[in-house]
Amino acid sequence: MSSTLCCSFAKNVTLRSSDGQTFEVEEAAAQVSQTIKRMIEDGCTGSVIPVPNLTGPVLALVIEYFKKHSPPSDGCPTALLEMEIKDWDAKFVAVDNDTLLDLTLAAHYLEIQGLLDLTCHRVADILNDNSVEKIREIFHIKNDFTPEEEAEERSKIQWAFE
Amino acid sequence: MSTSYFHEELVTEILNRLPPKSLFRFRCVCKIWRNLIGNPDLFGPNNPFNQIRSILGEPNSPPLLLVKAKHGPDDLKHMFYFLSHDTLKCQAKITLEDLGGFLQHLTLVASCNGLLCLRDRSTRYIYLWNPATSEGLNTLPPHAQMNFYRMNSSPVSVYPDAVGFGFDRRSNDFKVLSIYDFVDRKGRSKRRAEVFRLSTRTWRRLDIFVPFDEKIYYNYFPTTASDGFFFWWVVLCESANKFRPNTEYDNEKIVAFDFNEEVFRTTPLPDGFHYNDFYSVNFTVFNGFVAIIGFPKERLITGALGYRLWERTSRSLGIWVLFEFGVKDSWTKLIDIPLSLDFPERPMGLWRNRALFMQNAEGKLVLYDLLSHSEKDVLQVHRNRVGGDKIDDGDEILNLDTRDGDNLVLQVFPYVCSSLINLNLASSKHMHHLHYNLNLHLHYNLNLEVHEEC
Repeated sequence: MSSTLCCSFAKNVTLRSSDGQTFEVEEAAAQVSQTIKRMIEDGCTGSVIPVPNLTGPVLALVIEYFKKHSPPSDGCPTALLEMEIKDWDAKFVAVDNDTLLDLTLAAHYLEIQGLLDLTCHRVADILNDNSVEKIREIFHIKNDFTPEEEAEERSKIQWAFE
Repeated sequence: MSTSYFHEELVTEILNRLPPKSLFRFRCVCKIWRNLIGNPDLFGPNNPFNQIRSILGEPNSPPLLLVKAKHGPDDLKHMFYFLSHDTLKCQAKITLEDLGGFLQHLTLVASCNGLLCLRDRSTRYIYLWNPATSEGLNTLPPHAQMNFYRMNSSPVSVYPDAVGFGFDRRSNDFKVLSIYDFVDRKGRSKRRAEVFRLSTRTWRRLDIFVPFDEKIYYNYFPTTASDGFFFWWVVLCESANKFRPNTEYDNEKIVAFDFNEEVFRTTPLPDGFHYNDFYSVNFTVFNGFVAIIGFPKERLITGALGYRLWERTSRSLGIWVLFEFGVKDSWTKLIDIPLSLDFPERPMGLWRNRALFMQNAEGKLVLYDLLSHSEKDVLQVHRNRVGGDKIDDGDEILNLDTRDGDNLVLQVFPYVCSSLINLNLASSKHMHHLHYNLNLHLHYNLNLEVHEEC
């Protein structure tokens, strides 16, 4: 654990997921999320902060991210540390598709720009390698084109399918 | 877990990170996605630049813009203005005064990682120049072909035609490509290509097919450069062996030279696209994609004696983007805006997705805001004259010493090197350097002015 020497007494906040699980996390770390930061500034610290859009397992993952990305106590991130975080990030999003999409939603809801960039990039990479049919499966999207409409659509952008 | 609550904002966030080819493919996923991605053929008439932004993203702006200006062939001064890309304020100005008369036709080939490549079309010399140092133009040595013939004590003529400039990331080296004709001992003209490496300061002949026609000089065709590639608009006669006078060019391509691999790559132009179909055309790179900015001619009519004439009925500004190099069908027309007939004809490049650099009828550099597009479908432009008039917030952006606008020759390039400003700040506000090279008869004066706020 990082040592907190002078003024900063590691203040904690409690977050509660949609299914009622609670997590305690350092206030500085939780402020990686702009949404939570605003709530803390509005004076929610004393009580439990509800995070109704996230289930327990997803919130647990997000808190892991918070911990890794909280500002270092000595205030100067080194190149080595940055590389280590980059490595960690890559492993962090190497999860199954549903978890990845949940993390994307969480990043969006909690306004965590770094995590949003990370997950959106990862999702885009996955999309890029897959067919239209597979995309529908991943995103649970219903194909609302008639077969004729879809054929017409495809003929218009033939080059993109080659 | 269901993702039906993935709202459009988030889907857009993800789609924006896809290359165009995948993006267009995913129009077929569902109707919502199709509407989000937009139409690849013709983008809505309301605000075309919004669509460009959503498809291509914000361009990565270079910190500086370089504007080169010269008043016709008789003027001795070449002016280089370095403007902040954001504010268009002039940060520094370098005047090159050509005292020896050997730099009359000096033009910029390309700007790459802070280094500029220039050439003089009449003396045929190619120069590299780092404007952030007080050193002057660095003249490239003669081509390898010249040396070969010199050793064999036989006269030779080398006529450089197309020149390209780029940076090879793999070997961390600047390279210049020169395509030239030389006349062999039997009097036959041959087209060759050589690459110059800055690290070794030597030319090396390329033993590959050079896709440039021997009958045509490519000096004045549009070119552009991007990230290790240099592009030419190339017109080829149908048969390279048969010279057919007065025939229309029937085979036009974009040729790219890849400085990493040292190979040529070609890509076709959109159907029915010809250099001669444009009143004026400029070639540019927009977020890594090759793009054409042009004013097409409108209608071909046959005159009384069978002459074919282009009739100017109206004029529109078109921007076409090539999303996949080598794939003809990936040419996409992003914008087609009708313009009034007195609209100036020389597009010089895009500025921040919403404005065009133009040289207007008076020869002055102007910036046309394309966002203030009126509902009448006729482009309303702000005549923000760069020579003195005010732009949005009332800032004067650039004062060109425009004595004679008609002959003003302008070039606009991105300039990616912030050290220019730093270096200038450390030095005095005005610097003069006199350069004299006896062998080349180069005799010029570099005068540098630095502007207060940077």
